[in-house]
Amino acid sequence: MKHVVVFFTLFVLVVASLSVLAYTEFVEQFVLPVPTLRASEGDSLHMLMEMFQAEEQLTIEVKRGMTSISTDENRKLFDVIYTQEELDRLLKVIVNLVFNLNAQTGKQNLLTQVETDYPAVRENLYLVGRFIDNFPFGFKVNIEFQSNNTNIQKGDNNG
Amino acid sequence: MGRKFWIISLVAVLIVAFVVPAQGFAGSGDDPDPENKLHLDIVFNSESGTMQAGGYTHEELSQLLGPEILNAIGEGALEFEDILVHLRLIYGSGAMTLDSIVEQHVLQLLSSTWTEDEQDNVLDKLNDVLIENTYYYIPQSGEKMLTKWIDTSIVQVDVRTTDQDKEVSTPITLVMEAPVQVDIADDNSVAVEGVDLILEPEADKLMRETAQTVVDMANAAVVDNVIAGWDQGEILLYADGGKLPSITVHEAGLDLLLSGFAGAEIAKLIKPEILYASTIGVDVSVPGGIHPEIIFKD
Repeated sequence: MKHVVVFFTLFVLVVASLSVLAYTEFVEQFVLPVPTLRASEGDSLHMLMEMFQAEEQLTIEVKRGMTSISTDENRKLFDVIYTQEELDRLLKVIVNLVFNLNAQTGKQNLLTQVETDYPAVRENLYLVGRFIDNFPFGFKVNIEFQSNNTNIQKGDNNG
Repeated sequence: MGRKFWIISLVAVLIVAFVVPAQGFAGSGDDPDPENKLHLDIVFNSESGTMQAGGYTHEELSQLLGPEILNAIGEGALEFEDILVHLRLIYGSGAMTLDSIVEQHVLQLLSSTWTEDEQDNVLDKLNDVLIENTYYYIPQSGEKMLTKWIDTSIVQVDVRTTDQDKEVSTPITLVMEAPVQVDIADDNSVAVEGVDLILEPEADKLMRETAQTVVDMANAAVVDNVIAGWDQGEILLYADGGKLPSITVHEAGLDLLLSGFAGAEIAKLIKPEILYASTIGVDVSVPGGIHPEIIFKD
């Protein structure tokens, strides 16, 4: 009887360990699908695409500790690798830079356009880093260029 | 993009390379100084009378340096064709060797040490030439920096002749383990590794305007020191000594960066294989900033 209890306990421990490992592996590999964002001529998403010389599509894949950026036909550009501390530090620099520079120059650029399009970004930018680092799954954002003669709106869920 | 631009760029690179010392770790005397490594391979083709260097073809070098300079170097080298089969000059740890390599056999032609006094003599003579012919000179503080840099550098130069058209020079390798320290003063003057930059009035004005832009950006970001490094395909960034996310640059990303920052014409002349083999960085402090102890290669 004693042997049965020991064997059963070991069996449960092994199964539990394997389950945790499998779950972790699954979570790390799983990429949450996100609706395609539509960029229109001159908006901040289009400016972002132009910055990366993407004519039709810009893909940003975010995983814990790494973000990959690729353009049309899966052309890989950059992998950004970070820890939570590094991400926090970067976001602090960016927040300062975006809003202080904006106040200094008053010129319209990608950063000011982002602020125009998304007024809440200033208050919530810190949350982006926390979210990226704590979100259990990866996610992939596709931005596609939409010419002006269609009626599909930015953020449309039909992607 | 004229020849003058490339000559000024070349002079700037040489000034940076020869003024940069390797920075030791303050307060940790046992740590070795970081090393600077440079490898340059030069190939002369005796049949076609052309020259290649550092992975650049004759035509590309002609664009960079100008045909007159290139032809003069090529003609001069081919005068020594009979003895110039393959010479290898290696400098490191204060010692210099010159070898002749024929069919894998190495014959040492020269071996000597280069003392501090000898270094000073060479630098004095270099300064005499500079003062006589240009606006520039190396200040005394610059000579000290240069001496220190020489002591912690490994330089290898191969000079070869060939009659084979397919023989190509290997891409130049430049590894500087410590970033180049740049300080911007209150009046926007710039010092590289503690040596004040002396420039012609027009260039000085441009430098001060650029320095002001950097100061404005740093003030906006609320940082006093920024380090940006390129380490064989990886961009390393630090703000006030704190590491920021690093960026692995794929070939398409490199094309994007080069065409964006350097322009399409210059981008064509910057070879990815050279960049992926090189390490170099800059450590910029605005007034009030402190240089952290960062080294790219552990």
